[in-house]
Amino acid sequence: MNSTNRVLNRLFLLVIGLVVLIAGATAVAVTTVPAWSHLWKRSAPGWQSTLEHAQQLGLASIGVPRPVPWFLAATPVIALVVIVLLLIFVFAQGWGRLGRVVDGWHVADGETDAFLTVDVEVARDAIRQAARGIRGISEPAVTAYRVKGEPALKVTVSITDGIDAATLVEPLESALREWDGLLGEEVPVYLQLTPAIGEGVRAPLRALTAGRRELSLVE
Amino acid sequence: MTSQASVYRRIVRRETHSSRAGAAITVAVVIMLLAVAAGGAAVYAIVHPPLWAGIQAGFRELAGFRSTVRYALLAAGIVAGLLGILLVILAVAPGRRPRRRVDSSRAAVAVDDKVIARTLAKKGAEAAGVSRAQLSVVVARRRAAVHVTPTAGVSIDRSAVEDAVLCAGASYGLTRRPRVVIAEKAVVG
Repeated sequence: MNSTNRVLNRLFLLVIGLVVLIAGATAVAVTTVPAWSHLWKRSAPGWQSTLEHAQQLGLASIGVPRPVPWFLAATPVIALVVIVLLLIFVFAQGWGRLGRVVDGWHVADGETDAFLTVDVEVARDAIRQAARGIRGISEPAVTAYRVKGEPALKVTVSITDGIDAATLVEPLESALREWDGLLGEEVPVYLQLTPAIGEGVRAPLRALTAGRRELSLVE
Repeated sequence: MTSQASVYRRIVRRETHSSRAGAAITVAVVIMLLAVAAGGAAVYAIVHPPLWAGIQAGFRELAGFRSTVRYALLAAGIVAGLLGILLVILAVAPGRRPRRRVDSSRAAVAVDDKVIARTLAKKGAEAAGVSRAQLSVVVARRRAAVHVTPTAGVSIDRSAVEDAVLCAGASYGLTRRPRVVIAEKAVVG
């Protein structure tokens, strides 16, 4: 549900894949197809000469005493630009998570004129409370994301081994409607039903959650 | 305001298909490492002329096209070609995640295939009259495959297992009759 640009990811993989594929196919063709081998042998001295007689750049201003070929000077600059662009690409992945389900709704009637803000923790506690009576599921994990400019909730529920998930949809819908009633609005919800992890792992997690609650009460 | 139907369509599409973020980040990191190596080598060649002379000698070797260069180029070409094909497949393949949508009037609901497999295994084991440990289920797009190891001396009603699994899988879009394989070897009950 995050805002990762999937089209860009696939386009990036496609372009790099095609470049690598064409380079690989050319290398194989040059080594195995006689006509391509001849072409390589004929043109290679020309490229070599171009490289060796490339225009020289004077870099005395940055402390390099002798001139160097232009492409040798350009390589670090191009590498730096590529690295910066790819860092931007990598760090643009995975955004879109929200801390608030409602951020600045204008509530106005005869008596009230205010802006409403609801944190995700409120949605989480409300949905957990409403789902408490449903047997065979873990405590729901609730997160919020921006989808098409609107807040949406992701509710992940682990199901005890062997329980038919289809039978849990209706009670979970009821729990979500209780949350709708509390909020007074229907926020889009994505409900994901996953297999429960082993009992041995679940028990300490529950204990930790309970411990945190006690701590927050002391605070 | 965006209609909720389009929001749900987008959510379901994104949650049931891979974003390819892992592959894209891996490729980006590899390119960055190559860029660091190329940039670093170029800077070193500028301040240390013997390295540039070595690089020029490398160009000459490549241009000379001796048999060692040819074999190295062939090997590199095959590896690059396979890598390129893999990346193109990753780019164009749908990348479905092992989960499927279930009808709901309130939310977009998706169930992991593992949950479905466990449910089918339970129903199948009940129908076959064996323990859960004697039965395994693989869930494909439209049908499930069930592998049952019978208990020695107890026969298994194949059609009962098929019916039970088909009935349980119908709500998850597993509309084709399951493939039930009963092992020749049995376990002692």
